[in-house]
Amino acid sequence: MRPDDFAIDNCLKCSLCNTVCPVLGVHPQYPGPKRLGPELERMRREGVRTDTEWVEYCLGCHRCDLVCPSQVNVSEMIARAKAEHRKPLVRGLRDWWFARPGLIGLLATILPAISNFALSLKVVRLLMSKIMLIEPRHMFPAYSRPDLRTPAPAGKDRPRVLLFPGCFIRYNQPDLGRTIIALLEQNGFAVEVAASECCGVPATANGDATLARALARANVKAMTHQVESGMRVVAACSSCGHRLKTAFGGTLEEDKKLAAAAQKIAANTFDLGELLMQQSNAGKLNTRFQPTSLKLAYHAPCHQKSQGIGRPWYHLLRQIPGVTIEDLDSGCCGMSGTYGFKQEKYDVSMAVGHDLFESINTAQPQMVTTECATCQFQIEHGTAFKTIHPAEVMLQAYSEHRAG
Amino acid sequence: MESNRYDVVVVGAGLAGLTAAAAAVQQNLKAALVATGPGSFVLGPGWLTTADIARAGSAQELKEAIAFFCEKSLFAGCSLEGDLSTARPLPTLLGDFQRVALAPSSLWKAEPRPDTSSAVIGVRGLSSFDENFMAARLSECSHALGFSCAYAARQISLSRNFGVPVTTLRIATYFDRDPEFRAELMDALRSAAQGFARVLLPGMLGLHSSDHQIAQFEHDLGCSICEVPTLPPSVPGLRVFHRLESYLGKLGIELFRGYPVQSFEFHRDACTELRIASPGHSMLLRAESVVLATGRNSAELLGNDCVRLDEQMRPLTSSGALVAPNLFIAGSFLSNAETSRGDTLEILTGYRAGNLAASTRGNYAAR
Amino acid sequence: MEWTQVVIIGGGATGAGILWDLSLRGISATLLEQGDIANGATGRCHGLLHSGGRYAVKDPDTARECIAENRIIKTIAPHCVEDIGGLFVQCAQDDPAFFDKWWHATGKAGIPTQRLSADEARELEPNLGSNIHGAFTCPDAHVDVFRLVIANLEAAVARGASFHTYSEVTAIHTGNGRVRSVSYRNTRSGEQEEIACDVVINAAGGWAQTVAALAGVEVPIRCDKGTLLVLNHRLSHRVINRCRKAGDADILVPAGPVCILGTSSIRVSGPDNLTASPEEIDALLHLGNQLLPGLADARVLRVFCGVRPLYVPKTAAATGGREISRGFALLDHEAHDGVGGFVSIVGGKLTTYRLMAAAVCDFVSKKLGVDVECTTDQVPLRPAASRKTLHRASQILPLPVVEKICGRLGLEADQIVTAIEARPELAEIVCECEMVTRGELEYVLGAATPVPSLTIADVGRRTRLGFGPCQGTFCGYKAMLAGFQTHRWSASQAANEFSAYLHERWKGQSLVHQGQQIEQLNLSHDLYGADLSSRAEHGE
Repeated sequence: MRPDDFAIDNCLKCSLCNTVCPVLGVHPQYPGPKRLGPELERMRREGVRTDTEWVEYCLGCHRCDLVCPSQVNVSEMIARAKAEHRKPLVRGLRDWWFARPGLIGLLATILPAISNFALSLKVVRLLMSKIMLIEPRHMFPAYSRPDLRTPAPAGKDRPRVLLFPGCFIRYNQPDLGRTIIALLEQNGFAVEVAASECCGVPATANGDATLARALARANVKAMTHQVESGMRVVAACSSCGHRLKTAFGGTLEEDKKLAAAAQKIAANTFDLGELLMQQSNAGKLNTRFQPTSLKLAYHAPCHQKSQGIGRPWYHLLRQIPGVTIEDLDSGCCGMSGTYGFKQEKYDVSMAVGHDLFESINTAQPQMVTTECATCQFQIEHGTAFKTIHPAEVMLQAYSEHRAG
Repeated sequence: MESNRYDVVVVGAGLAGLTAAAAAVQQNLKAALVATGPGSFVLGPGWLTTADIARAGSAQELKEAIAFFCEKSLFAGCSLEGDLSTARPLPTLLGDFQRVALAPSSLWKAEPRPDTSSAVIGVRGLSSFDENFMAARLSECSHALGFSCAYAARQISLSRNFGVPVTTLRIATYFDRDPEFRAELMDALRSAAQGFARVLLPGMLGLHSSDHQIAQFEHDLGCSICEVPTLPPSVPGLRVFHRLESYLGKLGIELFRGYPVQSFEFHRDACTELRIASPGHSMLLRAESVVLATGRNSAELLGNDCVRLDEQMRPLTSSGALVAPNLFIAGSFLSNAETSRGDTLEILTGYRAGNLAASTRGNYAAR
Repeated sequence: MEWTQVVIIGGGATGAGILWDLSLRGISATLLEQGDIANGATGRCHGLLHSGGRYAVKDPDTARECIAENRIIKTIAPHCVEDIGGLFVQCAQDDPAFFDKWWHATGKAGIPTQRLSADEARELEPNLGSNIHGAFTCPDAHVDVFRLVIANLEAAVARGASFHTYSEVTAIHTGNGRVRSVSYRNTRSGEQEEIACDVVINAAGGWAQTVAALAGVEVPIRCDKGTLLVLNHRLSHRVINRCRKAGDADILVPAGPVCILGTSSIRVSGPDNLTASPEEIDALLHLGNQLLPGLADARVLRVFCGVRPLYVPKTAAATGGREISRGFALLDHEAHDGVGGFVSIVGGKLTTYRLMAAAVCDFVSKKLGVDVECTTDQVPLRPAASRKTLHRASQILPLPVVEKICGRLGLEADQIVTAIEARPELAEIVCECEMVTRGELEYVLGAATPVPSLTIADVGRRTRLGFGPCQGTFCGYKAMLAGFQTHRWSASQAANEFSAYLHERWKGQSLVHQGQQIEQLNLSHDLYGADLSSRAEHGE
């Protein structure tokens, strides 16, 4: 039997997972992770039909996993339920697209200017809401020419890292990708940009297990060689990072060879902040910061917390003279990738983020910093504050990069 | 600057671990707290009894430890009150009374009071609590104890759509987040509490609320409010945990939440490194000294060869050797524990172990 | 004094089956049971509805009986049966000669089986290991023993029969060489009652000897204990048997969301105060692990023991528990012992309960001059919930609950769904492990049900509440409150009921010495333990 078969046996029905579920905290009918995870999983093993629309409302934030005293992989069980869940046609079609930001990115960046223009039109967004149930109040992120490439080697004998850009950097913000490369180069690394696909988190979140597996296979093939040669993988986006670290959410378990390769990648994947923190611990961080005056509020994305690496960006940015940074620690922003874009889930999404918005308003920072792109959207949507990736803050602090 | 090196690393955020961490940071040390959740305290009624303390320490030491813990809780906004000499009878889930040494203030105030008119107030739809059952049972049990208290039963209705079922958890969450809800709750309680000097509610007054907020609520209501235990998780228990954890964070303790410690590493006999079982690869922490407060599982982490502790709370192997000079145990240890859960000894051992760890100056983590 | 034609002593499957059969023949009867329904062997077995495969080689007559009854019970009580089929697995460690013997014997006994290769077997049951040579299919099934007994009782009550639980027989009065009446004591209230009758049927299983003694008659019963383990979740879809001569731990039966592994065979002195040693439990797990590799790591929820009440007439040789025939015997105490109107039915197994009942009722009705044939093989026990009701249920209840209602409830589903429609709070799922709603809970606690619940454990047997991982820690408390709210119990009675319930639930869990159930039990102790001890202080 698979060890996984006994994961539900660990559940003590203590309900601690329910106490941290952001959706259960705002939605009166949401059954909660204890029900949707281990309880329904146990029923499924009995052969009882358990499909429920409620699984769609899980944010996939993993907070339930983190608080479980018995290490039940609650969110994984809910993800399995999502994969078996049958959606009505329109939602199903919409979510088919949402499962594929890689494909959307590819198509939208053929002629990014036109895509951006179209997506910005109110009438287009209204149509999307009527036909596809996509929330019109959200603006789609702008697409950009996908020109992020491996740069010329920055120097000899540098440790090489493989940057997993993720769909957002690749298709929406290649400049951020270049910032990250510059930051890594400033810290003595040579960077190669991986020829990777979407990490598969949106696929799993939208219930497309087949796609998730296919993406995992493709990503393993794209990165195995480099990892075998001793390169570390650096993920700039927390969700991608968590995904890689969990061997693509365990989607490749059936295939022993690929599973082993995925495990090797997992063991060698580092969050960008985590990598730089390691450098800092070893005394190798580039600390040639120009003093500045910047009041920041830091929001740790849920998928950063779920990596169990502490809060490296918080500690890194504190090292910059003149930066004051407050750790908001105010729960989930509610966006969860594609979740907040869904019309029927918008209100839940905004209710979940409410506490965070309030904290930010109380903190009154100059800017909010967070490393997750969709957290950025949500914060800029729910508050009047601008957000910035911590890598940008850090790079700008280097004297060499002072603007003006 | 090595940010993953700590003077004291505490593993486990139950009462013992929280106390140990507080003791460490009290001495201005750089401390970390590694835990996968709140600890078993929140799964009980939310209070502490006192076991036979003679086995583990002196009455004086226990008093000191409790005073320390209570001071921290006070600063954290989740004060606990207690009486170690004469434990106080408090209402239980079955409407009986149990002698309790230490409890969150809101629970502590629920002792039998013959001279005070008390109403047990339930919420319509709250299926895990029945005010009629509680009131009838408390009346007859307090009588059996020699107090003649009459408890009346009242029920309030809340318009908020809580879904099915209504739970104390949901009510507590709305209490924290929604001022309109608190106002509605206040109105409903006011009518129900008419004519009573004290009301007993199932634990539901917020998962993060402070003493001050609850006192304010009580003041607005105009009569004394106390909470009684419900099915787990305990809302008052969670409140203590959340506030203490948050307070420790503000004091500078680095919190590593969500993943257990998978192994210890020893250098020159001392435990200088821990590995947290984070996804992908483990997270390394370096420590001058370590306090292990993970409950009955502590022994497993040390390879199951530890049979007892020395007077300095350090585990010894079956051959009598120290596992490490800088490794201390707090809370329950081994299944035939000297401390049991929900017990003031957790605080005592946490306090002692935390202080011992803090005063260890072997420079073990230096390479 | 109450009067009835027949008093049946023993509320297991046999007794309940007799009550139903007599009611179909127009014979008035009352059943007396010292505990709750299925208190003895019936409530403490795998719940295996045998295909007969286990007896084919050694006892072909019993095997033929089994397959016939297997089919009948699936026809008359489909809602009590999970017709999941079974496998007889050929483990590498076992005697290959037996496999062929088995194949031929089942053929001869008329038990339909198919031969599967190891791969085919693993296709059906992925958790089977690499240590198998193949398997045989067979029409084994799981029968919910409580539902089966309830179905028989409900059907009988509908035809005018009556029964009393928590009624311990204290005396069988005879006069002029015949039974005259039976005295019994309500074990909860202490009240004594007496009921006059023409016939007394001793269907008391493991207690048959004790009951017979009340009439001054000897019925030699040997009690053979079997220990069973309840595992937290279903490890197989089908019943899994080990294809070998009957031995320990060679049956795994899926039963709702759990599965039951057993069993052992140890001689004990009587049916009360049964327990299991850690060694016994370890041995079961070790053997079960041979059947399904990895099973030894599964979470055991509780350990329980039952006795096989084996009839050992003085003439039989003294042999081991499994060797004694599982056939049954009808003892006419008028002929043997000069006590007219007193009959005992002993031995047998769950699967042939109806046949045993038929034998007794044929005999008794003849004695009473009632010339009616047995029809229990044809008359269905209980109609299932109607499609209309299920459709209404699906509008207001989540899918898994509707699925469970489908399986668990009969016509009372209509009442329950109507109640939930009127009061939406009744849709609350009280036992989350078994998807028991408050509506169902209030029904079994109320007066409308023909088989009322007097204790929380009774509620459990009627709904499966508390049968999951929490073992009643959470749902039992809510069931207690429901009993209080529906005025079944006063506040202090409710608290007492819950204490008693918890103690019983704890007993079975405390025998589990490894795995997560220990933590679960600790949680329960932390919540209620001190409470209960303080109540002991108050002398409650």
